[in-house]
Amino acid sequence: MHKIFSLFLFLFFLLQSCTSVKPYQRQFLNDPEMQIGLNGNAFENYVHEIREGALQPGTKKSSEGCGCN
Amino acid sequence: MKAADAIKTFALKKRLPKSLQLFSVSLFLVFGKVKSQPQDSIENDPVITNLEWRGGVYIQEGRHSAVTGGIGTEKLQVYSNGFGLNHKYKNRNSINLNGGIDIISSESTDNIDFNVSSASAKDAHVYVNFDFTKAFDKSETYFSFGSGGSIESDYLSIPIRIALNHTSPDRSKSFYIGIERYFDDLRWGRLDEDYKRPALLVYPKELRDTEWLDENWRYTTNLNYGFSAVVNKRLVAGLSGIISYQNGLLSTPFHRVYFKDGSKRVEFLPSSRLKIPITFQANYFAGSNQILKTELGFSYDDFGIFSQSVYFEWVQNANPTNAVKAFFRIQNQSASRYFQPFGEHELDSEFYTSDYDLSAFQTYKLGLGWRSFVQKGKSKKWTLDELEWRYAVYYRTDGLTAHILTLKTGIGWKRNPKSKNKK
Repeated sequence: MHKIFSLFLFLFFLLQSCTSVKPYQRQFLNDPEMQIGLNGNAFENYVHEIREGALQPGTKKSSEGCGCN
Repeated sequence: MKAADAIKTFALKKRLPKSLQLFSVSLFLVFGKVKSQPQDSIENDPVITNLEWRGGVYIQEGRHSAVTGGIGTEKLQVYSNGFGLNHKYKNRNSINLNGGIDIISSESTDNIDFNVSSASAKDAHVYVNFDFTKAFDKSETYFSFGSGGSIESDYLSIPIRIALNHTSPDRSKSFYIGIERYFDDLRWGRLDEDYKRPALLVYPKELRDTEWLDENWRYTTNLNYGFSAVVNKRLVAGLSGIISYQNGLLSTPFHRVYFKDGSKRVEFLPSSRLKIPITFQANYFAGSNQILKTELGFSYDDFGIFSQSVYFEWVQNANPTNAVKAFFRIQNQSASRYFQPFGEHELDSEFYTSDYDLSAFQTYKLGLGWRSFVQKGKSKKWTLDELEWRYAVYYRTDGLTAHILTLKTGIGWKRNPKSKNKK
């Protein structure tokens, strides 16, 4: 658990050293598929949340149901 | 700036503990660039309204239903219909309304009271949420708050949430933090003609002579955070996580648990739970209009569940408006210390469940998708924004399988604000 925490802490500080990209250089970054966010969609990620014990970061539960079945 | 300076000065004058001083300095760093937008530039921003429709079908098969103690059918179909309405105005303020209804058909639900119907027991899950977002200045700092509610025959959930989102002026870094709190009532009866109020917990029929659980409410508090950054012209990466704490009734009242001596009880879990998932994502725009998306996730749960997951998606832009995608995901988790299969629990166990969602397994998800950015309309004001569908097959190594099909489309309406100075 400590090793994983250290890994993510390292990745976080690594992201601090990113370069600045000028607006005319952003043709690839502006593609909608390049946006960081939920991979999949809310419905699929809700399935993960119910059928697996683990919680998904960034999941915006489109509905707050028990999903117990 | 004045508000941020006041926060900093107050913290130092009052000699607050160092942790609170650090928190107040953090607030200063976040709000340091916040300032009011000059009124005249707000008036000219276009007003944009988007309406989105989402549909989904989920078909599941399995043989470890928790309703019958870890054995029995898990056959389930969910037909989901949802909508989202987003209205942007005045310097990117927005109001968001989303809701929908899920029709659930479950064979295992029949087995709560062994009342088998000709078709499997049906339930409906209705939900609605609203959020209001205010933008502060052109460096794109947003504050949002919202609430809503969802209801099933045996479940009522009411959330409240606030969040802060900030993007740097050069759009190379983005940060968000939010808190949400759910108030869930697990009592049944509010939709029943005989009760019309939350009346009781639904136990299995043969176990209803005992009040097994003395709590009706479940409370969940989530601290969400995320950070993303542009690494270079082709690569973006992000880190996100949740610290989730639940307390109250965490057991499911209609789940059976069988013990080694043949006796059975209602599922019983601790009254608190802490979950800490964290995810690292990276999206790379490779040559030939391909985008490679990866996601690495870890989750810790004080029920004893430790999970790891890897997600990979390949997107091929067929042309400027159409993209085809293929994806797969692998997940592995260890079992909760409170889980045992059917008939394996010791009689003197303090907590017990046979819910296979809390067992040890691996999951595999494989799928295809297609997305089209249509952006067409008969007039410049109306656009058909996008069409998207995804199909995935989901397999869990305890034998549960599922098919997931989702569809999404939306329309947009853009117009200029009315001028106040008409001559």
